[in-house]
Amino acid sequence: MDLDVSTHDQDGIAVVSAAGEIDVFTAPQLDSELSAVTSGGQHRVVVDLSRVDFLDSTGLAVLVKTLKRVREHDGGSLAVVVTADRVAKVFRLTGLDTLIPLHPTVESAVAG
Amino acid sequence: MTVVGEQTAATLTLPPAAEHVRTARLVAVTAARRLGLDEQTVDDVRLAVGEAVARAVRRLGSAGVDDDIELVLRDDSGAFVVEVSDRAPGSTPDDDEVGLALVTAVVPDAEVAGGRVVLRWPATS
Repeated sequence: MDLDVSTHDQDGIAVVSAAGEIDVFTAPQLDSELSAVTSGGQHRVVVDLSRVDFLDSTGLAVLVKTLKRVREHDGGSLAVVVTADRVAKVFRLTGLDTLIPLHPTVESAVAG
Repeated sequence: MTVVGEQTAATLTLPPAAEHVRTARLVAVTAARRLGLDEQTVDDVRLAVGEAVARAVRRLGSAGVDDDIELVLRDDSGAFVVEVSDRAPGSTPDDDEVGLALVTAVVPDAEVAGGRVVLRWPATS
């Protein structure tokens, strides 16, 4: 089972949307999309996980790697859109929600 | 499912590939629901079993051992027990601290020793 990943620009911010389950098998797809975005010079990133119903530690590792990349640049930022409790819980348990802001909608994430 | 004494157990063997971790999660979730665990606990089962099997895939991969992973699901007098075993050598490093942190956060009784992870959720009354 694949993860669907796509990127669009919204108000100058790259919104990377994923749909499906993010685990040790599918996380490389998200990793390659986010790497392409940041390598392309876009360092303001929102990852939309509102259509993701499972996220494991490999998915978190991809986000941490992306956070490090965007922080190397002035004005760089990373925010995540999470709606499923199951997914939000993984951020809370690891404390990652203190490093990466979680938003209920893409609009609020883009607005910062 | 086979019945051994007072325990009900199912065993699943999986090739050591990342694509099969999802199968392990689905099987564990189905068994947990059948045992009547609440949905929040079922979410914990999904996460912890996924992390434990992903760990086994990584261990076998880094040791270069192409050997199946064994998943045993047991109903131990109402407690739900999942054992994940791999036969990677004892010296294989475990580099994923975040995965293990998640396991210990969502499993009331988790035991991780080399190639054997035992996850235990107590009986719900």
